[in-house]
Amino acid sequence: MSLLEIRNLHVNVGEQEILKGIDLTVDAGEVHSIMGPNGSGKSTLAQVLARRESYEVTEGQILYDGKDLLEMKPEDAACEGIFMAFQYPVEIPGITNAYFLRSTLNAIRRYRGLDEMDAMDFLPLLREKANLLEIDEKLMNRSVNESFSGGEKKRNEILQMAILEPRLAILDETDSGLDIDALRTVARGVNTMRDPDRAMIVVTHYQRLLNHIVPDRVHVLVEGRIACSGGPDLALQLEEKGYSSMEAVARSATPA
Amino acid sequence: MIAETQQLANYLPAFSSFRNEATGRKLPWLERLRENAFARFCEKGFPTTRIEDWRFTSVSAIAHAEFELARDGSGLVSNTQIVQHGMKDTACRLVFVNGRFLPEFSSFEGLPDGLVVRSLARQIAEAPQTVEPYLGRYLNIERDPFCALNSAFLEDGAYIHIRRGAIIEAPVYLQFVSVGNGRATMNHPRNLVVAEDGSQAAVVEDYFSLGDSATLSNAATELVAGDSTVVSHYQVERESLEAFHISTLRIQQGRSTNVASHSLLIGGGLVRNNVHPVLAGEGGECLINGLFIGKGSQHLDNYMLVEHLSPHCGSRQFYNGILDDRAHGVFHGRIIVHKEAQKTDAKDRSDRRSSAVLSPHARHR
Repeated sequence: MSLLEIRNLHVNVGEQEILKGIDLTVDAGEVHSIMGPNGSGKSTLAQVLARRESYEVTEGQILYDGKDLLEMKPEDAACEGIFMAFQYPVEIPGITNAYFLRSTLNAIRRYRGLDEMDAMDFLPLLREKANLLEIDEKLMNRSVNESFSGGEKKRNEILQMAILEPRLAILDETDSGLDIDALRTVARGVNTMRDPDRAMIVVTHYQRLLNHIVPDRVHVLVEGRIACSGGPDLALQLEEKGYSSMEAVARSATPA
Repeated sequence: MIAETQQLANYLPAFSSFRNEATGRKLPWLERLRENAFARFCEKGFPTTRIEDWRFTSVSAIAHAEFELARDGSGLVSNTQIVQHGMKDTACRLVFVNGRFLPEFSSFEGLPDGLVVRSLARQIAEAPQTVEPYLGRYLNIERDPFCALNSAFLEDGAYIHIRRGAIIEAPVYLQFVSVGNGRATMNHPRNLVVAEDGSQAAVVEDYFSLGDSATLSNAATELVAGDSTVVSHYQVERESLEAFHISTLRIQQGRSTNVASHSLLIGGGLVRNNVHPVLAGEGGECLINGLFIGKGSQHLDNYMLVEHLSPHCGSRQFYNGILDDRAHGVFHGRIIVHKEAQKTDAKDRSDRRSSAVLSPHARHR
């Protein structure tokens, strides 16, 4: 059984149909990349998987570990091991980063019937993961994402992932706005998380990130459909030729 | 009013002869750009302290001086002087004396792949189609007469083009030398930086002077940051205390860009540094750092205008000064969040209290 199976997914935002029939299967241990031009539906797909409720699924099915994902509440999906690194991480004033990370981890542990971790046990874990991502420990005592730079926010998302150890991680444009050093750090954090039991979906506009996080499969999303899929080479071809050739193919395939 | 007309009259002969000799004078778009800018400058005149953006800074000393347009920089400086004042470990070095590119002092050795640098005048002469889509398109000559004046005398400066996806780790170094040589001279360097999608680069503009005559360097830079670029810009002003220095950095930011502007004002008698980022694409981020250190009777004015045009953009400003003797330091500006720019995160962390005022006659406002 695959970890994630998306069948004929149609999604509306308001009146507009954004996803027009997505089929995608991701097995545990795999890293899939979703690429595509702006407005092609990449972020919509990512957010539907994270169970954001402002999207309306009009047709299709998503099976996560054999269960109907669309029936799960966002918090249950998170406890079941789905994690999303946001494109635009939100600030939570008044809640320190360390407290937030420990609470989220404990929420998941409670759901799974494990003992909660106290601050004494949690701190060494947090330090280890923060070091891996070269995050200044000072950020742990500041409010979540408040006054963080763009790069710090993105690294903080990956830190959350490293702490929560999800089974399915969705990274939505985690590379945007990062300089090459930060990109390498983030990629290293992501690569150390690769595991036979874990799958990742990396959403990106650019091939650059995929030099550092080499995916097993690449899917190109154009106008709400997967226009083509392939190995890591596909990303390189796209970088050379651009999305316009793909868009032409997608348009000709659209039923009149 | 008559005095003001006289002030402007000094610029008319300079402009008339300039436009008949300037590089690219036969290009209709460039000619139009220069003429419109000069007309705009004549119409507005030099700003007075009655204009809000200039309320802390009087430029009457510039308005009353008679500057000769410097167009030739050769023979004024030696290689030793250039190297002595210059920065090391750079991707390349472009030297401009009185606003004019001097290839003999510049160095392009080991230029990384994906980086094109040359003088703007040469680029205009050889490949005008590469600069036409950008030049003058972003700088606001309506609002700022100095930008209009710069555009009227637009000819030389640096042209920097970073190709798609190129990562340029060492900085591109631009060295601008003002040489007075007994006469008051003015120069109007114009730089164009185009960073294509996904590229990364750093550009340093370093202004210093040789000789003690009054000089006016009125520089403008247009920086076009394509989608997902990471660009840092450094402005170093360390001219002599006789120098007038006006500089404007206009940044156009695409989607998911990460741009930082750092300015360091140490030299110059009367200095105005404008930073004007426009966050046009979604998810862009802009950091503005400013440090100004004044002594004697220096007047250092930092002005910034941040415009948020798209959702999910962030901007941060940190301006700090150290002021001694009778030096004046100014920081002011505004952040404009347009209606479309939902989820904007703009913060100004500059605070007069975080600057150090070391003497009872020094002022910070």
